[in-house]
Parts: sequence; structure tokens; C-alpha cells
Amino acid sequence: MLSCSITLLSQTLKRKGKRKRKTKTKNKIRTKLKINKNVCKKQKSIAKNQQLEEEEEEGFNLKCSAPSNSHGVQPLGNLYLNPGSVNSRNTGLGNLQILSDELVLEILGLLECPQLGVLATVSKSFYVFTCHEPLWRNLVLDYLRGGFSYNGSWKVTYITNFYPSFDVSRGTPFSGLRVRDFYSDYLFQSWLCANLEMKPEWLERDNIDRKRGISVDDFVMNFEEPNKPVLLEGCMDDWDALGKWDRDYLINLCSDVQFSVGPVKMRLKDYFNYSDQVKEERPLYLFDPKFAEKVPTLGSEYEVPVYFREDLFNVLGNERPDYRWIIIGPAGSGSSFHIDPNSTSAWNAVIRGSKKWILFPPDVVPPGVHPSPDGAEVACPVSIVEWFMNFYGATKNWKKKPIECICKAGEVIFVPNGWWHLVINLEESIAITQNYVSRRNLFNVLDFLKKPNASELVSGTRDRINLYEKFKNAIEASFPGMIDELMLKAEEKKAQEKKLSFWDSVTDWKAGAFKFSF
Amino acid sequence: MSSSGRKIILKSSEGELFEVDEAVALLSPTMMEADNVISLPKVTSEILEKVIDYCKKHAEAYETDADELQSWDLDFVNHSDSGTLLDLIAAAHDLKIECLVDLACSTIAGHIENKTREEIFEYFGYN
Repeated sequence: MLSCSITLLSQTLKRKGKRKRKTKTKNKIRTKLKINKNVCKKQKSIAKNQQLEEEEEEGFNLKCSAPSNSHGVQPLGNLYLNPGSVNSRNTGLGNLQILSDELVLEILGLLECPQLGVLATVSKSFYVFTCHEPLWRNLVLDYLRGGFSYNGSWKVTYITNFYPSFDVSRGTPFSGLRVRDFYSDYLFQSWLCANLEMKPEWLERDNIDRKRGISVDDFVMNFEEPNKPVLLEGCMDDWDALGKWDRDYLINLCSDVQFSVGPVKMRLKDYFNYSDQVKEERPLYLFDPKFAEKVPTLGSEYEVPVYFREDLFNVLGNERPDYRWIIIGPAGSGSSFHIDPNSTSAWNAVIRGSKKWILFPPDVVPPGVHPSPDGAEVACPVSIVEWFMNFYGATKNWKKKPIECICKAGEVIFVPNGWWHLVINLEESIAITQNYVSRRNLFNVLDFLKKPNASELVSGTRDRINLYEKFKNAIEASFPGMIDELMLKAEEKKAQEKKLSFWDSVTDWKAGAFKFSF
Repeated sequence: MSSSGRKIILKSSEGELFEVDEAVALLSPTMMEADNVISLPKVTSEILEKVIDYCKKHAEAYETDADELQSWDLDFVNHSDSGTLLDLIAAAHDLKIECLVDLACSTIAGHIENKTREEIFEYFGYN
């Protein structure tokens, strides 16, 4: 009789619940098919012609440095090119083969290292599955938190740490075995996304407004009020950070300070050691909201550009939600489509490196993104690279094209409130970003904080439910009469304004629905 | 207890129809979104019956003691062999019943835990 104890069950369920598991459903991609060596000559020449055609549109470039091991996994399409071929993925899994790759990995995700090790000896198929790097990443992060020294791959990192007697310098066992006849779209695409370079045509479009040296009034009138993105040049010229912040300087300055990196905290030196080596679809990203508190010098070596100095959340003092982050990450790291929390606007300044931005206005949901109806989830289920592979092409034919640009060191991008945006680092980058509330955006923010499901939606603070009351009272205390004055102006403006379509005049996304319910 | 509200109809691979109260179907977003009959060509009547049992028990979760529910869950999985568990996972996944997927996956993981290579061969029914 098969049995399972209560303790074991609740332990595994607890461990699973701790990690914020993102459903990584893979969309099918039109992959360039690789030619299998066993295909007969005639088939080969037909396929090669097709491949050449496909290459022009669909070819992918892998990262210049050696790609991570694919173990010979091929996409399912190749199986259909080889009639009579058997998929070792299935034969090697026994009864388990009826489950999808994601479900198999879900089960494996509940296992510890020794069990994965035993499974790897059962069949080629299990070997490939148990090599899946995200499994080992979870184990490392669960047990070592941020105190790991990355060593080539997550699996080797785990083993070097817990089984130091294993000789990792020996070749084959750790560079991995190659299997034949293993076909899986999920695993193939997972590997592909981890090793892909950004295609040049994904980086070509650059249609953002660029301004240098404009006045604050100019900015407010032409960009902030109409809620339009803009790239601002020359407003970081006085920043010490621009000249000083390189790796060595930061490592020396910050030494053992722990910065927020995904679910863990790491020292800068350890993070750079990881980011230098890593090849994965969703690299860990250093994103710390308390950097200036942890290392005050960092806070002193930059200043808020003049356009963004009115920040009404200041009235909350220490009780304001998280509002400023240092962002460090390797090429390929970034954020997939989202809208910034609390209905705030943001600016993002690149100190080192470069970032590709894609922005969609509030009323245009990007392709491939599915926001939940209550607004509780404003996220994109696919990774950044997968989005580019599957959905970027669709935007070419749209009338309402997204705003795109590459933001380089010394440039600042303004992200108006409510806009969808995706960012990917094209090289190792260091940046600072802040969210803020100006008086033009005050009502939106108050409105947002007042929503019935504020407890889920409001972010960056522990005091979600009371934030509305606190903020409103603090504004009235520091700026008596401001709310009334703004209300009056808004009513006047509304009376005068004709209804224009978004593309005629970019308006604040809630302009038609102010709720004066204070 | 009144069973007002609509009924959702599920059809197994053998063509058998199962009627489910809306309150029970709450656990499955797939069931809730359906208009007519939900056809499940990959799910046998035997498995479908078990899935519905699970949903019925968990629909009353708020009335049940947490320990009792957990004990019921264990009993539910302990009376299933690996083949049944895998079928349950597949069916629960299609119907988007997260908690049942978790329960069954954890059970399989627990079974694999202390097995040797040979025992795993046997467990997954290799020929």
C-alpha cells in the first residue's frame, strides 16, 4: 500500500508555497529547424531549401560566448521530420509521459538533490529533465539564499557547495551528456530563450521624443500633462555617479552590504560573479529600494532631475511607499510588461550600459499580455525574450505602434503614469529609477489608493489600507487648499476640453472619470 | 441543503455525463467559464468521479476542520496507485484545479523520495 505521511506532504506543499511560482507556459514558436544528421539525402536537400528561406526571416543568433548545454534537446517539429523516430522523452518517462513537460517539472521541483540524482540515472529522459537549470536555481536559493558563489551553472553551484568532495574540474560529467531522439518544445524553447541574442530588427525602431535642456514648464506642458513619454538628455551632467560608478568603485564602497536580488539578498561582489557567468531566460536582477539608506554615499552621488522635483509623496516622510531603486543587471535582464504601482509616474536614468524600452499607452494592452479584470495583476506571463520572439512582430502592423528607444548612459526616460512598459538591458547596466507624484497626477493616485481592493493593488508599503487616508491628510496638512484648488482647475479644464482620441492628444488615462469623492 | 444555482455538465472519455453543482464547480475556473457541456476526451469516468468527489469535499472546506480536511486528502491520495495519481494530475490540470494538482504532485514526489533506481523503474511501470 502506497502511503504518504502528513508531515512530508505539508512540508513539500509549504516549500512550494514559499516560492512565488510563475506559470511559465511556453507559446509555440516558429523555430528554425535544425537538420538531423540521420535524415536521408533527398529529404535533406528539400529541408535545406526551406531552411534557407526560413533563416532569412526566422534565424536566431545565439550569444557569442559558448551557449549553455542543451543536452541535444530538439524541438518537436524535428520529430515530425523524422518519420519512424521515437521520442526518447516519452519512452524514458514510463507512466509519467502522459504529463506535460511543465507538470513533470512541477513534480521534480518538489524533490531534493539526492532524489534528482537518483532519477538522473533512471533514463536519458529523466537525465535531461533533472538537468533543467531552474530546478537547481530554486534549490540554491532555498538553501543558500544570497550566500552562493555561482560556479558556471546552478547545478554545479549547488553541488560544489554541498558536495565539495565532488571534483567539478573533470570534464564530461559536468559539461553534460548529449542525448539523441529527445524532442520537447518546452525544454528546447527554455534553452533557446536562455541563449538568444537580441535580433537587430528588435532594436531598430526609435520613435521617442528626445529633448535636451528644456524648461520645467515646457516639460510639464508638453509631456507630463499630456502624459507622454520623453527621453531627456543632459540632465545627469552634474551627477558624481556618472563618472564614478563602475564595478570596482561600487564593490569597494558597498563591501558587505546586502542588496535585494529577486527573492534573496546578496553582496555586490557575489552578484557580479553571478551576472558575469549566467545564461538564463530570467536572470536574477538587483533591484534595491533601500540603497540610499544602506549606503548613504550612493544617495549623495546623484540628484533628482529638475523636472521631477515636485514629489507629493514626500509629505509622508518615512511612511511613503518604496520610491527609489538602484538597478543593476547583466545583458538580458530586465522587466517584462507591467504598469507601475500606485498610479505613479517614473523616471529612469542610465548610469552605465544601455536599455531597450518598449512602451504602450494605458488604453492599449500589449500583445501577449493579459491583465486580470480587477487590475490586481498587471504582469506579463512570458519572459522578455519570449515576448520578442512571439509578439514583437505583431506590433509592426499595428496602427498604434508602441513607443520605443534605446536609453544610453547619461539619458533619462520619463514613464508617464499608467503606461505599459518593458525594459531589457542590452549590456551590463547600472541605473537609478524613482516613482513620484506631482500635482498633475495627484488625483489619479488618490483615486487608486481609494479603490476597494487597495489592499491587493497598492505596493511598496506595509500599510496598504490606511495609505489613502494618511496621504490625503498629509497633503492637506502640508499644502492646505491644494486639493480644492486642483479640483477647481480640473473641473474648468473638463468643461473646456473636447473629447479627442488618444492619438490626437495624449491625455491622462483617467481624464474622463475623475471621482470627486473626498 | 438547497442546490440552487446552475449545474455544470462534464462528459468523460467514455461519453458518460456528470452533473455538478455550481458551488462544487467553484474550484475549477474551467468549469465556471463553460457554457454547455464540458467534453473531457482524455479523462475516464473513473478519474472524473474522483475529481468531482474531491471538489465536493473541498467545496465544504469552510465547514470542515482543517485537520479533518487534510486527513481526508491523505486518504484520498493513499487509495490511488501511481497511474491513477498521474491521471488525476492531468485531469486537474485541464480543469485548473490548482490544489488538487499540488496534492497529487506532492504525493508522487513523496513516493519517489526514498526509492532506488530499480524501485523507480517499477513505480513508473517501465516495460
